[in-house]
Amino acid sequence: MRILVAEDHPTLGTSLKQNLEQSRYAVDLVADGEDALTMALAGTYDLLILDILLPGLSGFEVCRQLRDHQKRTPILMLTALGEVEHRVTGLDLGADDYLTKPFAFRELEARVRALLRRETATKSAVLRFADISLDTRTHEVYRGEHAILLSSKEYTLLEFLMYHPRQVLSRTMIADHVWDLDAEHLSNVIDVYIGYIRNKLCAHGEPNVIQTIRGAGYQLKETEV
Amino acid sequence: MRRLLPLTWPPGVRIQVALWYTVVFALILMLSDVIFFLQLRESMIDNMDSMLQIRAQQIASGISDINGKITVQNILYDTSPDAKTKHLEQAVDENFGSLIRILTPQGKVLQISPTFQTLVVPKSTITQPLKGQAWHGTIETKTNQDTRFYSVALSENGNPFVIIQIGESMSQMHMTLKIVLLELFLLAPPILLLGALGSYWLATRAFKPIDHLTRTAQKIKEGDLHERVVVPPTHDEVQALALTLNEMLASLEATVTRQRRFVADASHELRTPVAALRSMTETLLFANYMPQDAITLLQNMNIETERLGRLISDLLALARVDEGQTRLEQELVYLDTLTRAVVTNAEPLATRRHITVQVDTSESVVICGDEARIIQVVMNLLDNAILYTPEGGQVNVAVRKQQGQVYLSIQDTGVGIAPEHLPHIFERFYRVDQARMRKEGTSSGLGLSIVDWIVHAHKGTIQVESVVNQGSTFTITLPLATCSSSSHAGQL
Repeated sequence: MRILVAEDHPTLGTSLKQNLEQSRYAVDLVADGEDALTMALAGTYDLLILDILLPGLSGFEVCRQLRDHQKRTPILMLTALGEVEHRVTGLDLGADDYLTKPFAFRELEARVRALLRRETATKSAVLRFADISLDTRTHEVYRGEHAILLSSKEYTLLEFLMYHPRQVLSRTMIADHVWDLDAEHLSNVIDVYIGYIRNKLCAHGEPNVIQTIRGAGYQLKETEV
Repeated sequence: MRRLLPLTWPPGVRIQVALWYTVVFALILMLSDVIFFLQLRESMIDNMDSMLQIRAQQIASGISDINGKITVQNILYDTSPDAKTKHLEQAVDENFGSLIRILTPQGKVLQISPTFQTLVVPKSTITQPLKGQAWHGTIETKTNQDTRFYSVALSENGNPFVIIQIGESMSQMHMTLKIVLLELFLLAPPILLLGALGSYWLATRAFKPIDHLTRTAQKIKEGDLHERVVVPPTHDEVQALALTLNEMLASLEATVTRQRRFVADASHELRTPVAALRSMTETLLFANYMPQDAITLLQNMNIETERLGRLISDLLALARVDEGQTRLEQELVYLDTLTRAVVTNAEPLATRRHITVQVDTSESVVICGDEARIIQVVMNLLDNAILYTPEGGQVNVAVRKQQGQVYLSIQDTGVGIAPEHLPHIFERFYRVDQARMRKEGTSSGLGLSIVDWIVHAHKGTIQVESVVNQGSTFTITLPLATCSSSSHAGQL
């Protein structure tokens, strides 16, 4: 899943990006409000993490304008402004969650997971499809009894598929949600990664669950027998 | 042969300056030598003249005129018979080799030294002193030897009564002058050589700031345009040059940045409409009510939009590379597995074109790099190999390790690349054959540029060998290395 972080503090921004990347998310970092708005409007993010005191436009303003443009991307406000008034303003403007600095990264991570599954039917940190289970906290993947070892990119890709079961996902869509801005042109590489994941998921002769839809993309779907 | 000579014509500015300096120096040296020599000669002659004058005065003091009777003392050669023996011994002793003659105004010789007779004495040496003016000048002996000559009249009550003539050979002086001249000539070459070396050294020193500027500019040319040359604190030509260079760099940087920004912005802006187009054609394709020819058109549209999308993506990727904004992952890459996966992925295309793809990845090869980018490299090269090989052809892909290096080669039996195109194939939008690429319509014309960039970003090299109508071989060499911290979970 792909996250946009708008944070002007130089070290906090970078460390947020690094930590979220460690948790297998694709992360883009911007340092001012105007960039945050442009990127959020143009890009396909699964979540926005907005600082309120941003140069250019404030986090409140970014949030308001996004909602005005009918962008429904979940927004997590992140700020040192901890007053009840501020929290109320933020949430009323359309933010989905609010976290006050200083915070524990574990808590941020948990909130990110919660916001990401809000769009799905699942209400658990463990995503399940057929006999596959994917733990978004520990990044452990099982097919039946077998643990599946995935590389960071493979995990991110499978997680995105698991968040959108039975949906047909085009390569561009997958690329947009799995890679950050630095690598967004890599959509043609996805086929190879899908191949890797398929091989690993079917290592013990299990049926294939990642279907290729010709001319369209991929779909997480049980094989019809 | 000419190339072996380090000196080219016209020579470098340092040599030129040194040469001109040496020429000027030589002229000055010559002029000063001539002046010095003439001055020296002049002063030596003056010196001789005053010596002769003093001698003449000494002689004059020994001559007296008492009532018309002239007495000469201490003279070497008395022509009067009685005086002859009296003074001879002493005179020879004092004035041997001297050229002395004492005359009466009428020209009668009173005394004369023996060697005097060898002289050719002009008349004016007698007439001029009688007019009250001493004569001095250079005369010759009968054997053509220069002699400095002095002639003066002694007078009493305004009437000259005796003329003293005295001369001295100039051969001694000529000898001295010859030696001096020889010394000057001998000294000139080493002095000139020293001068030339000195001026070359000076020229080198003077051009040192320029050299420095050139080196800095060189570095900037190779690297990025953010850098500037160091402006020296001195208010001189070098500072002006440095300032001009920096202004030029600034405007260049601005232009390049604008251009890159434009490409990046344009690509970015184009992505959205192209993506929209694609999703619309895809939606239509999934609809059931479309007639067959419309579906064919839509499929072609879809292929073209995909191609457009790829072109934009590739452009954007290269624009980011130019801006230095691209970051590479550092992860373990299992090159053999990766290559097999890419080949599997390309099989439908190969089957469609009736091309056999053979893979030789017998050994496990692990490198450190950006997996997605390396997939892109292998994919682009393999797609090219398949597209440029006629039906029924073969493509061989091999991965092997050798001496700390990883070799990945993709060999085809395709159309090959003519030697004149080979140096350019990695250039952006370079097309060997315009018509051929249109057919499959998937390449952007930037594929090999991207391959080249990725390989070099991984500290690798790429080589092509090709024979027209026989095939091409692309060989990539990458360093065999493991990442310091692995982010890869490993392959099963």
